[in-house]
Amino acid sequence: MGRLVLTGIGPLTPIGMGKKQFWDAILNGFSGIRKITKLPAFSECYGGEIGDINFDEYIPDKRFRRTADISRYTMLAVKLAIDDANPDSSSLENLGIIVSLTHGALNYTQSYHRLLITEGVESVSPIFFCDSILNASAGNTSICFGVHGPVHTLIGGKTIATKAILRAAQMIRAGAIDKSIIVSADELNELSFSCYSRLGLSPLSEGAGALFLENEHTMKGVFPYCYLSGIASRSNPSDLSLAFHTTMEKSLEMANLKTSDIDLVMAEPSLSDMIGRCLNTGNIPVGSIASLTGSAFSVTTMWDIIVSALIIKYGIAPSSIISKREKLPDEIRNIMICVTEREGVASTVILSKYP
Amino acid sequence: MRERVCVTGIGMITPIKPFQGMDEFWNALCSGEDVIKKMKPPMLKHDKEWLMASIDLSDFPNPVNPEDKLQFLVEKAFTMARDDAHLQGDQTTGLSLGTVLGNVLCKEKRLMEQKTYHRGYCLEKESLSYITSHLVSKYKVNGPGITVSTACASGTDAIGVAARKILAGKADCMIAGGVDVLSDFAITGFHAFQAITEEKVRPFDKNRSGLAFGEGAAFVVLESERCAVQRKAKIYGSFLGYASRADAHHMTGPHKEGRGLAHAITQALLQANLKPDEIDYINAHGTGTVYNDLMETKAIKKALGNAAYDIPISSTKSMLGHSFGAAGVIEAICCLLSMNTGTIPPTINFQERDPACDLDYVPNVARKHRVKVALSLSAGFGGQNSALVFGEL
Repeated sequence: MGRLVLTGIGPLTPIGMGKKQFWDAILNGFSGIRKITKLPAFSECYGGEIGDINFDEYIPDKRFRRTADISRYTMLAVKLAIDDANPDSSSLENLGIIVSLTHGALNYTQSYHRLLITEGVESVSPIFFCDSILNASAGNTSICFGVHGPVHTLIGGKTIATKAILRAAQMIRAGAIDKSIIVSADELNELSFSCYSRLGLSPLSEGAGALFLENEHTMKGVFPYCYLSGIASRSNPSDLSLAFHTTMEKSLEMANLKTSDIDLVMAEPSLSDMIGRCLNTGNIPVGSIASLTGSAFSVTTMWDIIVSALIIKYGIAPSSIISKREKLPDEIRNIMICVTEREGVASTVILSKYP
Repeated sequence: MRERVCVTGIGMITPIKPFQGMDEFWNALCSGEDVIKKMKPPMLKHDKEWLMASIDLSDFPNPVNPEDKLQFLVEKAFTMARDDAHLQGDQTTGLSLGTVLGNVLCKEKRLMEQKTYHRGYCLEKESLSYITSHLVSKYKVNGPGITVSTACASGTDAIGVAARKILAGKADCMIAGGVDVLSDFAITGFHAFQAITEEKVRPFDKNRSGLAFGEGAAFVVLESERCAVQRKAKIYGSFLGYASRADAHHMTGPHKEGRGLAHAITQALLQANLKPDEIDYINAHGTGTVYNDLMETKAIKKALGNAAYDIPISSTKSMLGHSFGAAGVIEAICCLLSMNTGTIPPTINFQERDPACDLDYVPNVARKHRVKVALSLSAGFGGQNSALVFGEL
């Protein structure tokens, strides 16, 4: 079994769509946080929105014109990743799609209920209903791109994007599929915006991010961004710190690396102390895309992974998102992406430079 | 040699004999007990009644707040399975949960009562992955914790995902389950699709006219054979194969030739290293809708060839209704119980044979039959199709 390599990326973010826009925005420190326009009740609040996109230009199929935002974001990100990886059509035969999301199509769910309450049972919309179901974005995506392999939707908080990668990696290694698209998506919604703002979690944002993951032996005509050298996820409800430490150890062991081999950690700034303790150093550079994009839960984790792939590929560590840059080595070979949830779940992904 | 996975514990709460134990449930199911009746949905202020199989919480000795139904059912079924397996604390145990709607009931209630964001209070329970987080936290689950949502195949996929975690060495043991409860959202949505029957649920019958709703929670304990044998656990059966495939055809309708489901069956059998004539029983998805049952029949014939005509197939949804996220796990347990008791539950309300559905659907009466290998099938919105294979150890 060869390495699992990342051959395509598809960022759809408040700071840009596609790898060029996204990367340029990061290099220029462009922030996507501005006054919210999509949620009238929160027009004085700040967040990261996906701007107006001519969806039909990218997905001309009429069947998807009325799908929920989350489905559109998912399909666009997947298209970007597929175009980027440029696989031949025959290699899509044994492809899987793993979607990870935190909230789902809340806007359609809300519209559905509004109709039900105000107009009654006979007026409810089948479109709002079927697009509200949690796996709707995955279903639409498989139909849109003709993917017949396993198409799964995983639900969870910030760590779910890493669990989706873990699932895809396990399926490829088990021979169930040859390659996989892993995508994370979410949309802004009044209910969730209200709840999380009250909990102090802001600025919130929306969008999607997709990866194309395959075995190095099957890739054709592309040089990968990097390879997935280590990945682990652990749960320890009574001791998050221990779960975090264990995932770091496991992923380093899998990558055959020492803590000193890690050049950069992508994680929420609030995790810096825990990272320092686990890696036995307070000097490791730490970065996060959230300062520019806002937080879109599992999607932000996926964006951090995409940024890491770009940093490894281009060899540039953007000052806009990384602290302690002076500690960075000349060449960035290994980036660890860390994420935790307060229920005691920790996940770690290590991306490494492809030889 | 490849590690094998066994089922060492089962637990479920369904509308049939919900709190009376597994033997009572199985006897009632094999007697063809029909608990589906016309009822009003849980919260909707509307006169219309739909056919449903509901779990009456007043059957439970202690009072339960109806708003906590989902959490109550999930914890009961989870602990039943865990206790049945007599799990020990030193194993790395994970959780894989399948659900179609998650905990939307909480959010739905708020929406129904028009307590919109202006009231501005936040309920942690509204998080879609809340059930998994809650179980992980309350029962100190120390392995992987995953919420899978693949529409009506969620429960089946939760088992498949869990088994793969053990095979990949990520856990010694996984508790895999599914849950969903009756909700106005699902009932009115399927009503909009005209998928709900006005009379009996008649899977594979010529006059079938739709599904009825059900609810429940069900869990199985999956364990590496090494662990199970070491601790002398009771083994219900062995997990032999699993596959999931997409139709990539239509959001709500199945592929008319059953392409995705046939592919999933073929792949699952390949993984199990079995030939079609080695299957002794199929627990079908069998919703009772015109399109599903025809598609499923075609898929079974396409994947199994002539052997399909000799395999008894039944739809337990004819008695339990369609419990969405729980269905796949309940039906997997029915396969295991068939293997352990030598009885195949019937497809009830079967009156007239459909020339297009020409397989053996075990009509109306349970059948004594030696089941060494059983296949459980699920399909769902989004073009989801999944197949699980269990066998005697």
